[in-house]
Amino acid sequence: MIGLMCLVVGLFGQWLLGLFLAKFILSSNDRSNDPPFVELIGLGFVLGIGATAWTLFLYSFAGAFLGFLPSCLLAIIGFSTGGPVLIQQWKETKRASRNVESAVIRCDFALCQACQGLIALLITVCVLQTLQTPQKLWDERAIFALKAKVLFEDRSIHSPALMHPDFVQYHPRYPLLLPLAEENVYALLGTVDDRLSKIVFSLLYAGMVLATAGVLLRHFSEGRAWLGALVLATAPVLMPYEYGFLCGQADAPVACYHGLSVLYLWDGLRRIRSGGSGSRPLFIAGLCGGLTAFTKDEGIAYLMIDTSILGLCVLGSCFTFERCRRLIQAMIVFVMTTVAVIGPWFLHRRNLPLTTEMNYFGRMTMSLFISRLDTLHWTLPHLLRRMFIEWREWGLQWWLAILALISRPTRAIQPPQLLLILDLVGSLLSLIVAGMVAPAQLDEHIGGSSHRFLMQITPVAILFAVTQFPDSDHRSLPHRAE
Amino acid sequence: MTNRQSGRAIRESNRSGNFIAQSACLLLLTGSILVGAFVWLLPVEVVQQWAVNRAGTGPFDRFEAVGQAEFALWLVRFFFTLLPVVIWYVWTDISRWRTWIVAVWHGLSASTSPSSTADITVHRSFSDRARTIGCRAALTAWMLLFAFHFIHGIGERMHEWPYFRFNSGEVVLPNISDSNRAVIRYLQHETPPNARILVASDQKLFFLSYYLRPRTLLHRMHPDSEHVIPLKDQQRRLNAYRLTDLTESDLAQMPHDYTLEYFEHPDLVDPSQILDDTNWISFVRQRERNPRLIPQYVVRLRKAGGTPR
Repeated sequence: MIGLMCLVVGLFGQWLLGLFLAKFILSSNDRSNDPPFVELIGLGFVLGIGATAWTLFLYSFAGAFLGFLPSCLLAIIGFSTGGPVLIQQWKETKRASRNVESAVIRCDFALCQACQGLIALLITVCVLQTLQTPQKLWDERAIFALKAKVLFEDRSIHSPALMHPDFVQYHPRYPLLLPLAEENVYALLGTVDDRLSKIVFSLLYAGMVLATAGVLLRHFSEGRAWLGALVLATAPVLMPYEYGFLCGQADAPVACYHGLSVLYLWDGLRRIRSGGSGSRPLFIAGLCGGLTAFTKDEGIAYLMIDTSILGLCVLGSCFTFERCRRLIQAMIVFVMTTVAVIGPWFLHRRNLPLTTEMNYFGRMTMSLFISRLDTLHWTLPHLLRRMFIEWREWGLQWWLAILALISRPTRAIQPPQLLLILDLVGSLLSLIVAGMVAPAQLDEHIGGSSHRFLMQITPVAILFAVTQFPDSDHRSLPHRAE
Repeated sequence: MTNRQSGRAIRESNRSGNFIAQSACLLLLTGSILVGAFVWLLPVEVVQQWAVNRAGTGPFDRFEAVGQAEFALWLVRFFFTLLPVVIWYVWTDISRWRTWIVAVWHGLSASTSPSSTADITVHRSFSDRARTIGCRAALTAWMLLFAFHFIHGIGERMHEWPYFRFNSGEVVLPNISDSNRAVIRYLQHETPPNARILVASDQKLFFLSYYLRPRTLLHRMHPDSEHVIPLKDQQRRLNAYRLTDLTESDLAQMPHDYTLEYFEHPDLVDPSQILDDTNWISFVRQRERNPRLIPQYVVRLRKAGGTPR
């Protein structure tokens, strides 16, 4: 019982730490541009989990021992930094009066309340369903939970077991965000509990949905922003599909971090287009991008794709000096933040064994590409079937994105929207390339994992569909930055 | 019609609407309280017996039926405890809730209209109308599909409940083969928690490694098997090193307290070795409650150096 109390208090401290980071990064001198409270709440979960895992990683990388002490210290830091922020935000929220005299705003506010209620219900259901079963799937145990157990028992990322090429573990070079987040739960609890450690994934679900609502609130009316968040929360492949946020696999957390990274890139590009600075959102985008690569190796591909897209944006705006300058500045912020997050991990990763690793980058040669071109005959129809024919199983997100594209094709080629399209196309291409170079049987490798890969980019597809339509005539609605 | 007359008509319409809504709430409240009282008074055993009587003849059908009936009854109990509270809350301020629902509807109409305004009196182009209809149809289909998945998800959780209940993975050892399960229990029984076990096997041993922690499992994986996905019931043979294939230098790289030979594929099972480990044979016979059982696979656990335990 004491362990459970420590866990609740520790996770609250972790959330406060994330809340403080979000507030610290996003707040500016111009109070009208302050992020909505819901965005801070959502980012609190996402950054809190990421910051905890990253700090524990650095702590252990430096040679110190993991366990109750560092986890407890992080929670205390969270309370001392995020506590005052929470109190201040709470007071401001209570003080802020809402003008609901206009019928349009009243209707919008009612829709917003309905969506908030449904999202709260969905988060509750997600937590209950997640905690109903212990970890039971292949990857969640063979890759992440096993590493978490070793980290808890050996109290170090330099554990001889994890460094030994013959120790029985799957993908020894997979990143450590999830194992460290689970280790944090075990350390606070004082014991291994493969059911309670899954709470991390429900918190990421809540964080993703709430942060998305918060960012959309800065660009759309309240009702439409919350409706967009509700659509994201109700993507069947994310929840309640058992390989989504209900389990301990990394695909849903990657969807969360990558989705938020792209969301903040989109937010930053919109700000830059409207004459503002995109540095703050790009900083969050860089953090989330780095945390994606610290969650699963696909994150490296996503970083390469997003950095390339930003580079294209810079090239496309080179005729407008001021915009080009702001874009270059934003791109530098994004890349530097990302490197700062994943740099230490890559230093450590060099010493880890390669057993069972696919070693994609090491295998990439032109001759292999040419010899494996015939795999496209299988991969392309397979992907199209997964995305469009099997909608009953995975959801309508791809149809929704196509519908949104057809609905407003001219808007789709404007930079913020184009970013989302290019990210989706780049991600799909990377899956096709992975199928070409992987040393595994194609239909088993891609056939058995494409639905989980598509899950990772589902938030981007939904974001594209939701943001494809300009807002209605709600010019006087609160929380509008533009 | 004058403004005063139209105002009176709206008020009367509201009053009659409120009356209908209040009556419906009262009816629902009474119904939900009655159903709630019934499901709370109904013994779990009665529902379980009812489910067992309707269960199939499969090996786990009756077991699943008992657990699922229990889960379903508790779910219904909680639902019908909450429902009267919600209905009561709505009933106490029915006109405000009616206004709110209407406002939600209008808000939804406005937010799903991609055009500049949701006001139907304003002229809109054909493309705007098409976008509005498309957006609403897509949202409706999206929410219906989610509702289907949501209900299916509850069904899945109901299906899983008999197997997991509140037990940890250590207790259930879920989603692994019976042979893997038996070997895990055997090693937990026979080796100390800090043991280092060198394994020669044609199996993927990740789950053994996970559930046997803090024991350390070391296994030199055959390069041909590194990226091969195993199939059920040994339908695919995974190449593997035997203990005799490992050189002195290999063994020196894997310091260990025990060696385990564990082979399941018929091509790799030497029938003469199956009964070698007498402790294993007595363990598995006791576990299966079959004193004459001869396993189809080889498990041989030895202390390092080859001495029998």
